[in-house]
Amino acid sequence: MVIKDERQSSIFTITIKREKVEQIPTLEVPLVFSDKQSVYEYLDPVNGIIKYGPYDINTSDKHLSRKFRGVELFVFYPKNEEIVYKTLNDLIYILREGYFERRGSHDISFRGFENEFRLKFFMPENKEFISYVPGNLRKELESRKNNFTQVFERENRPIVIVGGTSHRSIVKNREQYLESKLQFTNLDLPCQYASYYEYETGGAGILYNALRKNRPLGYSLWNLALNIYGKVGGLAWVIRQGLSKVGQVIDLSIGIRFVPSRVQRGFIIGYLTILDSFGRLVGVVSSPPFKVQVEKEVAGMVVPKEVMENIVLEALKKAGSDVRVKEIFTEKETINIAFHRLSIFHPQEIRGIVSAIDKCHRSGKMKIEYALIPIIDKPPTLVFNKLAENWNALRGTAIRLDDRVAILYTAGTTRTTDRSALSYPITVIAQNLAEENCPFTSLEEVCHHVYSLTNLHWQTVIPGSVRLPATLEFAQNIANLASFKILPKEDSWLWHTLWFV
Amino acid sequence: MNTDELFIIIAPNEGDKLDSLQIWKVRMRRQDVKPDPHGRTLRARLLDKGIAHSFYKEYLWAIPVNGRKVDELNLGEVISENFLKWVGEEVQEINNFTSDELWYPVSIVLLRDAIRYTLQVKLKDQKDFIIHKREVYNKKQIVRSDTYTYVILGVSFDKILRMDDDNVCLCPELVYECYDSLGGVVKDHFERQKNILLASRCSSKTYFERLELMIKNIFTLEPHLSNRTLKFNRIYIQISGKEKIKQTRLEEWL
Repeated sequence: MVIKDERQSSIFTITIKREKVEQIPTLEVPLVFSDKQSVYEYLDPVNGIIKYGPYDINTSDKHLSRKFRGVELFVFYPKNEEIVYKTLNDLIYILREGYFERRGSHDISFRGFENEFRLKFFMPENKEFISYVPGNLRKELESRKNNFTQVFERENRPIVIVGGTSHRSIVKNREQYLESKLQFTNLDLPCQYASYYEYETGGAGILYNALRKNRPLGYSLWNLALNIYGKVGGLAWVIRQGLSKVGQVIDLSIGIRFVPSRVQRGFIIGYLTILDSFGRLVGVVSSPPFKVQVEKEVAGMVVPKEVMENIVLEALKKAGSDVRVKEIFTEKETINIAFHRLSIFHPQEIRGIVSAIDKCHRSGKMKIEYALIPIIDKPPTLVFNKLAENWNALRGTAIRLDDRVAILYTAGTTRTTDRSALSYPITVIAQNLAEENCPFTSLEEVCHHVYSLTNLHWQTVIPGSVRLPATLEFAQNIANLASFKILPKEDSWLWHTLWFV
Repeated sequence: MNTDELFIIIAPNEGDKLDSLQIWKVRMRRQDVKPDPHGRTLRARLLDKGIAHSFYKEYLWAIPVNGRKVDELNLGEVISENFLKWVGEEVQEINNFTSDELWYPVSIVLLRDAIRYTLQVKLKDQKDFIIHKREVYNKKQIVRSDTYTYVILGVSFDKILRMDDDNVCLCPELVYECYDSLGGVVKDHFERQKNILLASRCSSKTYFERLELMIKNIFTLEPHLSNRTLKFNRIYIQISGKEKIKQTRLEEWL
């Protein structure tokens, strides 16, 4: 659970300047699947992967290229859940052989995991599926540890598909979902939950849909495959984060989110996710539990200076220890960092960040410029486009509210003829814009940066379905799982994967 | 070709600006509030008398919201009824109502009270409306129904933002409530959420039409803050459109 008031109250800090209210031209950011891809080629994830394959097989960058040969699948299901077993069987078959049915107009084919992601995919026969008694999964895994570790010896990566009747977003049987996440993560194994459920409000799990011939399955399969690829450490696409200053990019984007400790009442834990200039996840750091401060003048909570300083310092060290980032750091005179969080940075938090940066200055030669970018997921208001069929503001629409504040549509329709429901924008605040150490030169540039990071939606192939940039989205996922004590060990290989999506 | 003709939901205050605002400050603490025999909150009690209030830095900040000025009301009487102890009130004329210091702990709270009071006064004879704090629901605007439940439309004035110098605006938004066939709010959280979610799924055009439908019975809204009267008359501002541009110079980052 994310601290609620963070998201609720920060919009009240905004002052709208009426003469400044205008549309900001936004920059459409291409997803990059290959270094050889044309500059003008704008592809959605499905078409990009079909045409080029995932980015990490197409790059000459030794740090970004794929390090494994294939993926080995293990399948688990709860004992006596015959429907889960049966539908898992169907799903695994489709993942191997592909899906070419057209169940309605909004469907898409899938040529099988091996073909689409261009790697070896080892799947068990249905008799090799492993049943377990919910609540006793740990015991079931004890005798199988060797099977998992042997995968690495074959230069492959393991992933577990767990079938079940729950889902992370529903309450029913949630303990099954949490148990599987916890036990497999403890064993350093990425885990993909496949659900057999149906929402009353529409939507259903992939196993539920697999069984029904009238339910489109193509996009669900693509999403599942993309999740699997990310969870074993694959990099499906990247983005470029350019700045108007020639040759300058945002080298690191750091998202900060907080979650209440479930162990110590009244205490908070902070999680920072670090992305490099390509959007690659460099690492995650967390703070020890700390007591939150509340000030009446401030909307939301205040992080103590020392806490902020320590976690930022740790994040910078973590980034510096990454081989590829280290290389870039040594080549550059100035490193540009963007800090994202869900509410305004309080002066004492800023002092903490500055202090951490100063310590880095002293230990290295490079200069660090930093941007403080609160990104509030609750918008102050909505925008309508009268020329669009349903008046929906298009994805990418940005409206300046004053010199440092804009609302930005990161999700929703991409064409004026789309008939989908309205989406809600996010609020982007360039808190230290125009200050000496800020790498951005305009609010437009900040919006481009945030918008580009919403294109790292590695959990779904559907553009415009994730509102927050990857920095905060990833940090939220990790914070949520961590609140249930689901976290890989410090030195786990999972930290180089999207184990949390 | 321009594909955008944009407008933004903002209801600017077109009445008085909020400078030179007369306000009461009384040295007292929240702990000194007398309990109410009827269990009503202090806010409800003071709003009944047409007074908005907030506690900040050992002071009660209060302001009449019923159209009267500070010198036309006997605050001492109201305070004596509601507080165990206090030190004499003073009237201050403040010019920093929308400053960072006062905005969140004091000004928003007073403005919210003022809007709540104005809504209650304006809609008190309209039997179809349900007022809950700064939310107004219309019992006749049913946007979804099934055998046992129905969902009605409402509008919230919770979002009050600062605008330009010494001014504010409202950003009204739609809200919904789910009732059962006996006319009570559905108590089952999941059932209520499900129905509200389904009712609220709509296009932007429908959203805007619903908002206009609700607002037409409420605007013009004229909340008072002692010697200042705000006026909210319209709900949107037109924005000039600009085309989306595409990223170039990809090679530079390769």
